[in-house]
Amino acid sequence: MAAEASGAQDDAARARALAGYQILDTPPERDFDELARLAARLCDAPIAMIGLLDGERLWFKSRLGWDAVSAPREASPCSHVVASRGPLVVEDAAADPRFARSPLVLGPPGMRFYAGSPLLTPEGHAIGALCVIDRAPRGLLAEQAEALGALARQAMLLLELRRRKQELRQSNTERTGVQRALRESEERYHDLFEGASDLIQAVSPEGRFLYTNRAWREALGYAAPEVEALRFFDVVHPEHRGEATDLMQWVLEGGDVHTAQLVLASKDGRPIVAEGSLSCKRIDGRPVATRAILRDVTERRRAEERLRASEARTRSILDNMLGGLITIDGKARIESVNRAAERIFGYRQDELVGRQLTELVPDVPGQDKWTFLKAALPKALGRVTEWEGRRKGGQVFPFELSMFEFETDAGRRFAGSIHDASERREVERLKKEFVATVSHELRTPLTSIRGSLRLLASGVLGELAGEAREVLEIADRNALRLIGLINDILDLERLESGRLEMQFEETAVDDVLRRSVEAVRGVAEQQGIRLELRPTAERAWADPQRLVQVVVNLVGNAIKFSAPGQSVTLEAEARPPFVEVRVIDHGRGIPEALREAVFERFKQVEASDAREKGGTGMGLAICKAIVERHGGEIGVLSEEGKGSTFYFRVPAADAREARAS
Amino acid sequence: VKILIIDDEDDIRRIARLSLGRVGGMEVVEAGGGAEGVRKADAERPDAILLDVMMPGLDGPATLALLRAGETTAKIPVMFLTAKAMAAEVERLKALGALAVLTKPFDPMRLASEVRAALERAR
Repeated sequence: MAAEASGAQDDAARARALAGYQILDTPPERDFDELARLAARLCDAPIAMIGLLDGERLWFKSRLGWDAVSAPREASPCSHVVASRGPLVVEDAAADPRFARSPLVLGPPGMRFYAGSPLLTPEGHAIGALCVIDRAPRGLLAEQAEALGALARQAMLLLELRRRKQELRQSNTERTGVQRALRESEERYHDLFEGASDLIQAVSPEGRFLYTNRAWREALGYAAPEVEALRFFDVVHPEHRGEATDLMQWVLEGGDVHTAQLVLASKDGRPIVAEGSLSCKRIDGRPVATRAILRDVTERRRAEERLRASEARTRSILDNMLGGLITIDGKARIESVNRAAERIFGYRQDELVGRQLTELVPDVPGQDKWTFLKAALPKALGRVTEWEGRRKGGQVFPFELSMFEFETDAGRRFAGSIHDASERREVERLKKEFVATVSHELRTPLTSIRGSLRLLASGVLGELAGEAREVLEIADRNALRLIGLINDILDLERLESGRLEMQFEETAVDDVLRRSVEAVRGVAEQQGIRLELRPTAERAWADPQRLVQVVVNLVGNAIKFSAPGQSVTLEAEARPPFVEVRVIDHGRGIPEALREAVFERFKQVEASDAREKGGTGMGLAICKAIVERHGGEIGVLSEEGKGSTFYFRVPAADAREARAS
Repeated sequence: VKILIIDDEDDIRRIARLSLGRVGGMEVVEAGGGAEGVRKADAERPDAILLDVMMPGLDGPATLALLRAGETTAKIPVMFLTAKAMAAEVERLKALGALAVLTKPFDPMRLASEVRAALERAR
């Protein structure tokens, strides 16, 4: 049992030893075949084989004289050679009970004589045998037995040699593979670095460049050979050397920097702002290179700088505006306010941003502020509206608001342009008061003057002599003119400030013309002027009182500047969407240069006109203001020496209906 | 016809007195202010009162209110005299219960006839 177990252990070790030679199932080799041939010749046998015992088979590396690849283990005497690790000679196998029934004896090769010598590894394992076979019984000479043993050792040496050679080849192959892989890897990294858009550099602790990639060289403008002569600080912008020194020192001492900024200088001196990471390579704890992977952010920095400058400019404009500006989001939350808005409302920006707009509005009686705002804000879109605001101290004041909307990344936003109207309101109030006062203060003494003069001139207080009466009439006439002037100034002031109430209604233009003619008939007759009125069916949307005022003024002027016997014509015509009224005279006309100017206050064709023709010089200015309040226009066509046609246009009644529907 | 003129301006009162008296043949009583006007109205029982609007102390509308409140003066027709000729102002004064609103400067030759016309319209 122990022998069997030991035999089994031996078998396993032997199999491992055999496997080490990597010989099984390889093609025949000349070296082995020559050994076999030598064995056959020396032993004078027709068959010589080199067999290796592999499990249950005997595999033949060399087969001389018998063309068999393998034989069953038990059939061959070789297994006995292997088991005994010593030579074996069988003179007649047919007579030997161990082999008499072997297929090698009964079948091919018809073995009768066998001589084998073991193949022993340097460790002492028998892995096979070199044998010679004859088909007739015979013996083996001692020299032949010795030669067979020697050839078996030679075969073993050959196997050993072959294994060494294989091992050598294997190791060579392996080595070449590693080198190629290494080379490929290097190339890959090189390509990667060279092709990278980042600026990559490796710098020795002394400042020499160990490596720079293409992007680095292109950005800085150096050719590869030039870089060799450079030192790191040659490419640092002179104004930033201090910080670069600190940075390099830090990295060499072992710090890694992931978001470093270096300002480099290109060959032609341009600053290049580079951002990236820096690290230090060490061997045995000593720094050998600093490595940097940087990105050229000059352009981005410049764009950021421009954006910042533009924002600062916009901010500066907004902050220096006299008007307030508040932006709100879709929920009326304040997003920004400018300085003027801070001043107007008395809050600081940080007190307002994020708060609701309702904070800036006083309580609305009987209404929720928010509901009020939601309804009122849209009315301010695109136009100026009047509001009441509440300052920080609670003071309520009037302001004008116009809103516009705009889109942002964060959605729709509204901006309100704000003007504090309290000052203007105060000025308006003072002006109104002033006008009323002037009106009263001037009219009161004028009432007395005019009254006195009228009473004197009328004779109810006693008749006056010729010249005295004449002088009195001059005084009376001028008092009247002064009253007219005051009335006109007040009228114009009220018209231009929009405080003159207009009563618009559908107005028969014919009616207006007739009433006007009535009003001036006396003057026309006095001057010997014929008034011609052309009937019209046109209807205007107008204040008839004010329209009469305009026509009376125009006809009055026409009469003043016509010669006795001449006519003044009044007519009207539809000029959709307007009605055009014309007052035509045949007087002296108006020089072209003055045709616009006559509608300005105190502008008359000749300086003496006011004195000679009467009038205040305000008439046409008032006409223009009235017509413009109607949304119409006024003008004059004239030919010097041949007369003038004054015309004005006011909206036709049907045009208004069309608009309304 | 007896007319009471209430106006703080002496000159205006004089002109009005001449206009109404000499031109219109009316009897004229004067008062230089609202309070005096109310006393005079009670004492004299005029047929109509010409009342200035802007006066120191009691102004026109206040005087009118006092006249309306007085038993003896409540029914006397009152005409305002004003230097403010704006339509809105005229409407406001009429709404206070004045018979007419006459504007300054008035024509002294026509003042009496305007007063008479207003009184006739009221009758």
